[in-house]
Amino acid sequence: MYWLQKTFNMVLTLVLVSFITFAALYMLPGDPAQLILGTEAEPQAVETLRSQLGLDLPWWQQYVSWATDMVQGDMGRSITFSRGYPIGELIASALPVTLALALSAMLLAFGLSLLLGISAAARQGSWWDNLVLVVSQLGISMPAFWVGILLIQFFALGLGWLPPGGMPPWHNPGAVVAALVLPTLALAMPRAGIMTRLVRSAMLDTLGEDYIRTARSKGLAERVVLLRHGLKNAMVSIMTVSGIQLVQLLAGAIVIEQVFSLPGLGRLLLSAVLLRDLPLVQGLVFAGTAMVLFTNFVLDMLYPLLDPRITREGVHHGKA
Amino acid sequence: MSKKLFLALLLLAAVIITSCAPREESLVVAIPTDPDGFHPHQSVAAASAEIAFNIYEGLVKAAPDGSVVPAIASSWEISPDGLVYTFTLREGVRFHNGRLLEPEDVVYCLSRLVDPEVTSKAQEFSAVDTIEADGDDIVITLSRPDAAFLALLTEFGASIYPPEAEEHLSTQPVGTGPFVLTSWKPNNELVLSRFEHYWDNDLPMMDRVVLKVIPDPSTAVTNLRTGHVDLIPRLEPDYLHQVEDDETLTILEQPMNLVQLLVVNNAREPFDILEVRQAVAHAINRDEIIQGAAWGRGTPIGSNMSAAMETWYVDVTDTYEYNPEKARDLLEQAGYPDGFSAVIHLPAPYPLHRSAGEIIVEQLAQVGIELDIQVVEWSTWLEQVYSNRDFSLTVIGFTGKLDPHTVLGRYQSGSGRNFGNFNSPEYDELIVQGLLETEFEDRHEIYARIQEVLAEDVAGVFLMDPSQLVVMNENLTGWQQYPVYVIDLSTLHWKDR
Repeated sequence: MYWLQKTFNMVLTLVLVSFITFAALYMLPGDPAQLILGTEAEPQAVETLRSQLGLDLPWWQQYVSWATDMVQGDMGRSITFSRGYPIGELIASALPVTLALALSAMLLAFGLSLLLGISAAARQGSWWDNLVLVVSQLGISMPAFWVGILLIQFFALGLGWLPPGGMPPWHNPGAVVAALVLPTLALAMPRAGIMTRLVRSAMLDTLGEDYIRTARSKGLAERVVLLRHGLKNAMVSIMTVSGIQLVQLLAGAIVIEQVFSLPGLGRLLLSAVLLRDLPLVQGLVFAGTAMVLFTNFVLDMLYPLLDPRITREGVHHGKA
Repeated sequence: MSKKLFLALLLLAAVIITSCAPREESLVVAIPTDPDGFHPHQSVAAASAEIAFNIYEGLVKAAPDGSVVPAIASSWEISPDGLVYTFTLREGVRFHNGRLLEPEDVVYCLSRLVDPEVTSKAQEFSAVDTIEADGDDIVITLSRPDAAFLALLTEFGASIYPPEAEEHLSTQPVGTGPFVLTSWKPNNELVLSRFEHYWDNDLPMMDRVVLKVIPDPSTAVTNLRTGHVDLIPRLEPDYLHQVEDDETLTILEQPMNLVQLLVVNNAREPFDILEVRQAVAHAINRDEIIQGAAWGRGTPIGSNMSAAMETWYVDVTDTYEYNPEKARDLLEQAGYPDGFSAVIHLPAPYPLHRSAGEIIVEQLAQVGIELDIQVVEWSTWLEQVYSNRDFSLTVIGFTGKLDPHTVLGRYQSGSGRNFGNFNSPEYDELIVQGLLETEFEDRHEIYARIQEVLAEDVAGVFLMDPSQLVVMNENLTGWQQYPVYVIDLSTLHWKDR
């Protein structure tokens, strides 16, 4: 039941989101044909182009034909941005870039925040705790794009250690890693800041519980108390927020991809929206929504494993 | 022979062979956006045409000096009445797919081009009556003289492609030009490779050109300065200070043949009064705008033509000189002694037009015209300002063409491109005459008068032709500047190599 319900919710959300995206784009001012022709457009030429692009059909017909193709696995072709290019291919080539960026940033942020958050919580009020608080505040306050620009200035322009942006081909793994170092850092910083504070406070909450005192009085080593008893119980709330952070990270990737000119989903989406490439935006939002929903789905599935009180029937017993 | 010696010899041979092989010459160019495809009859974005120039060719093409030169046709003749154009095809021209070009290919492509059912570009070719192959000649007959016809044949739409490749042209172009498109990863890069069978054996000079799509100018500059990019063909003047002091870079500054103007809606109150428009013209100080918005990199203009179109340009910049005193007098005559207020719409994606607009607001305030700035997104600008003509003032740029008719035709009262609602019977008549006239001297006289009318009646206030700033690696040379919106990659090469 738990599985079935979550899956049904996921599909319903996808359908709704695709329809809302379509409606929103349809109502936005700006006509794709006009955008292509620009300041040389004659009304007659705009009409010809509109009919070539299938934009002269009624809105519901456009949506139905999009949805029909979509169900059959055909995402259509781009109409204004790289016209004629299959959207499936566009997304397939951009997805790995964004995934690589987002996942490496997530891993970095997650690792850093666990390390800093736990060590700070273990010695609450110490100089180390205060330092972590200050540094994490700094991380939160600096927007990712600003960190990105600073990193480019320092490591690419100044020292010349790493490339200032761009994406080498995948068959050159060394260069790919080098190209991703700076964007990953820039994207991970603000997330790491927020998550460090979160891990710290979740740990502090848990460490105040009775069973921790029991564990300590049993004479368990402090490391075991912190990790086995403390962290494991703090994990549920950390996971929930991490899920939200991962989604925000995907959004942050849009900006970072722009700063480092990485050919990822975010940049593709921005170009598509600016050029009113309706089918491309549709396809991208669909893919993005699917990714976010899938993340949440995986988290939902993980909860019962972390906390048996969240049962497969989806019933909460007491405090999670 | 021992095994070791054999290996050593083998190694030596390998070294000799590789060192004798010609080194592959390649180049990396930064471009701000992807093309919208490469189908000559469907793709219309300037970003497509400027790259397609290297992939496709028509019967004729544009030269850097603005003249029309042979391409697929080696020569042509025009009948004295200006109605029959006979093109002789060059021998041995090959398409990128290896096939020899036949006269039937030319007839096919051009017949598609003039068919309004096929392409939005057809209406420019409405004078075409028949297109036929006569042996190795192509004969095009017009129903009326069209002085702009030859120049129109240089445009991207008039490219010749093999009909069998038409279905996938948008993403897999097949032309006869100096470069072949070997890969296109949207949002990332396009790779052009040397076409071995190009009819001009000396071109192109590079083996491989990578066009990297970098939307953010600041990122493009960083890439150039760190050596990841060799050339930025169009740098926004705002970023000039980042490259000016870099000694490893060459900066070329040339007129771009772009007309930047303050469009005044001639049909909207109070700009429908000539005196009000004259007052606006007198209130504007072009030099201040060129200094403030383009860091001094621009040439003042007085009508809708850049000095880059040497053949046709006349200087009318002093029709209404900068004189705030006169401007105030004219406003009083028009019945606005205390001035008035209006809205100016500025297009968000163009920093040059936005900065110019902001300076104009200051200048008009000096004579009592209070402007409220509205910065709008490009698609909104196109819909509201361009298409619906629902605006009073805006700043924009028009890209240049080879023939004055294509440039100036937009001010005809009935033109769909005349979004400033300019209306002058004299002008409409002159434009029609200009197209029918085949004698250069007479034609020149007509277009000179046309430029004067635009300035005198204040169709808009024409500001400047902003310089095109080409920034490149100091070892790169061979850049050719055209008065049309193209990038010619074929002549670029590395120094001393």
